[in-house]
Amino acid sequence: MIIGRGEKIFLWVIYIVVTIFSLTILYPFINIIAISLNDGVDALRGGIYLWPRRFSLAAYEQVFSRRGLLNAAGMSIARTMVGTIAGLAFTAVLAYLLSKRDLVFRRGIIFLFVFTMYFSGGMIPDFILIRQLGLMNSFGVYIIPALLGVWNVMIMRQFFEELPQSLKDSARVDGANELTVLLRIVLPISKPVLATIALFIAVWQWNAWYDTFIYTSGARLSTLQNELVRILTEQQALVMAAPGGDMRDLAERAQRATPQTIQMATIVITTIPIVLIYPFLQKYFVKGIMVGAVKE
Amino acid sequence: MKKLIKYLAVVLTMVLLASMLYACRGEDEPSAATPEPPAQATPVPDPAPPADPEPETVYLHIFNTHGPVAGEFDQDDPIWQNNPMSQQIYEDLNIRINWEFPSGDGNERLNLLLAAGDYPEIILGPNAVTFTRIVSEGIALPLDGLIDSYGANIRAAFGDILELLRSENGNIYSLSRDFGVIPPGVDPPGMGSGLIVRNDAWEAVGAPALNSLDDVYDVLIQFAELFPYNHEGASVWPMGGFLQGWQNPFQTVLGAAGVENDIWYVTEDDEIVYWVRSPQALEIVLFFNRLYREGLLDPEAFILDRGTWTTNKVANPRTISFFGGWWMAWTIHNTYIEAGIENAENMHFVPVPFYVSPDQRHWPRLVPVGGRPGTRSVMISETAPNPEAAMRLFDYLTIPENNFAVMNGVEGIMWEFEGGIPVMRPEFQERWLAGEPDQAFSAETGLRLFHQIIGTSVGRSPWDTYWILKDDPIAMNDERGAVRDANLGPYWFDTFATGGINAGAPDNYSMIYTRMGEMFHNDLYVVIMSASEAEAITAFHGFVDGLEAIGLVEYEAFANRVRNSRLGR
Repeated sequence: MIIGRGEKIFLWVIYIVVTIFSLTILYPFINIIAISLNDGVDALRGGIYLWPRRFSLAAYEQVFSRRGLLNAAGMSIARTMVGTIAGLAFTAVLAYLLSKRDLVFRRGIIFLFVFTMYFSGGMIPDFILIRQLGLMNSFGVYIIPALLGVWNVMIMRQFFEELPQSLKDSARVDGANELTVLLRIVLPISKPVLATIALFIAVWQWNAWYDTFIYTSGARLSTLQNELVRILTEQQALVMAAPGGDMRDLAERAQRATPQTIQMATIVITTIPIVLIYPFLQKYFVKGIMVGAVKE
Repeated sequence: MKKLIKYLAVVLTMVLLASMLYACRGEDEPSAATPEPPAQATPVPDPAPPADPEPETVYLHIFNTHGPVAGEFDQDDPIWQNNPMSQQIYEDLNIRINWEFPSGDGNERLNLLLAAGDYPEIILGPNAVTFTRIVSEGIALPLDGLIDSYGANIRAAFGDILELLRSENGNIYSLSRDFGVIPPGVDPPGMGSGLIVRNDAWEAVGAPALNSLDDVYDVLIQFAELFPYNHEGASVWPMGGFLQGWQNPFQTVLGAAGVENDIWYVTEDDEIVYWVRSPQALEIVLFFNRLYREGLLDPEAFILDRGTWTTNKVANPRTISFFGGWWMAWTIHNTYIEAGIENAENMHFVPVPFYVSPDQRHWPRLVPVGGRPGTRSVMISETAPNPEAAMRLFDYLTIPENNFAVMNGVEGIMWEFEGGIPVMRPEFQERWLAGEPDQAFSAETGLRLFHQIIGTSVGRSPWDTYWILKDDPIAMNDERGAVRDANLGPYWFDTFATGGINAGAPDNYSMIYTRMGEMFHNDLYVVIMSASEAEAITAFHGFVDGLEAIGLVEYEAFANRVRNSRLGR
């Protein structure tokens, strides 16, 4: 295919614009990594852009030297894996159910779910509910309240509704029941939406810290995000706190790392695991995110 | 039939979900009603069988908004039950403690618990806002009756401080972690703060007597001449500092000048006024303005937070002196030594004798400490199942011998009495000097695991030592610390005779107080950085006008009402 001169110029302009746009997205991440790898005191001088000026792993050492961090990382991984698998299973079942046009009270049920997207009881009723359910200080508090995200259900339901009805009907003609249709026919051809929703849930689970803070006590159920929030809080407290024995080594601590470098190291630590997952899900993700975007 | 199957499927799904919810239910939160039996200490023998009838062990549930000591020991850590201090409390009182350390901001979690009607039995360290809520909503148990019945040692230890803890309705709802008085003969200039100078510079100018701000100015001039640059050729400031945060240089000077609690000044009529109305206020502002105009003061001194200042201006080293706490740069010279700076061994910071008191009034000598409701309070909730046991525990911890054990571990492990004086064993002294943290000693001695309940470190112990033995320069043969104490006074803890005025204040007053604080931290440096003395005077008056515009006069009236109420007037 021969491309005209005008079209070439247009393409170049597109490339340049997209490149600049990509750099504006990429630069903050590079800058964060550079600062996190820089000496804490030196970083306060500013002027660090793409790479560290005085290389130091002190911020990472301080974050990783925290007692209980390994346990917290394990808890984060556990809740992400269990939460994602369980959440995906429940979302898929409910979405499939709601995608069936002959479901009794379908509109009413959908309304009830959608209603919760706009209105909630608030923090205190949530707290009382969780407490009365006996979920305080249990692993279940990470999983059960997050089993169903209505938004995810609606996306998946939309995808299921757009699947050819003839596929499901032919399976039923061959004697398949609803579970078989879901497991053997619908889910295998729904990888894009499953991957997308899995990513949504996984990212949410990985980043969640507030439920840890509100519903748990002690270190047993602490998560990586919660520990990192505490590290940042403690760093700030070191700067602002009142005097006493604990404060005397402020200067020494500050030599190794500062709240700024620790904050950046924290961002890197929490972001990288999720970033590493993206490439494996990207091909599905693009398709999945387009669900419902095009009507034929 | 088909419809029936559908309905059945829905019902079955609901049952399945409900059963899963039940299966996933967790443990209840720590509760005094259903305590887990504690693990027994391995090195310490089980308590002797109690006399017949066997008294039932009381479990107290304590919610600590501050979390564990230095974040080291989780609430489930066996150390809480196994350490010698816990064992001693159990043997003496038959009480065990179940701690609850929230995962994040303790006050936010506490407020949720209160909103849900689930009150912890004992609450440690609520902030001022939460404290007010606990009192005003009737969540806190009035302690007067319990103190009368079980608090003889509390009365002896706290003395008149108890009256400072009395709320406006006449009841006492909290005790304070700290208690005690600054004994006569000590002049702590502003909570262990003062003029802190690099030792090499102080020696270079001949360690002159400083009796006024003019004397300080003269010394700074000499610093500027003698130390214009650091080892890297960067400019050095004769005086540095910060303003963002607690105990900034300005407050230190105010404190040294006799402005009680750094911001409140007690007039001849025994009323308190905000520091801007003290006789010294304008003089101190003009002093800093002069330093700024003549290049003796780091121009960022009133902008930086303390952490940034420490790392950016002291560690370099680019600061010769500052007004602040002695501990702020106590070990900073180690970084000079590491950097190979010449004469670094002699570049440590020392507090130097410095008092400013134009009207010959120094810091009040007999200052009750701990009259501050709020972050260091301990409260019992009105739903507590064992309030008497809680009060017995508080009372037990205020006995001097027990308070000393809380701070240093039980007698006979780290320390012992020799000739009636507590003496630290040499092997432990070496460990402290080697830099081991408190937590390294907690399991074997029990030290500082319970000081957040009741445990004062204010003033001297009855044995004429620090309450925390490892901080005692004499007990530790610490010559530098001894010099510090001689210059500064050993009592660096807060002496809030008028502190906590705003704790429990109605919202409208709290808003004024918050705004006053914002102006102090955000607008004062603009005054100090005026281009001339005349401009500084004008700007200062404008600053005071601004304070009055946001309600300073009303707040002063409120502050006096609170103070008078606390003083029983």
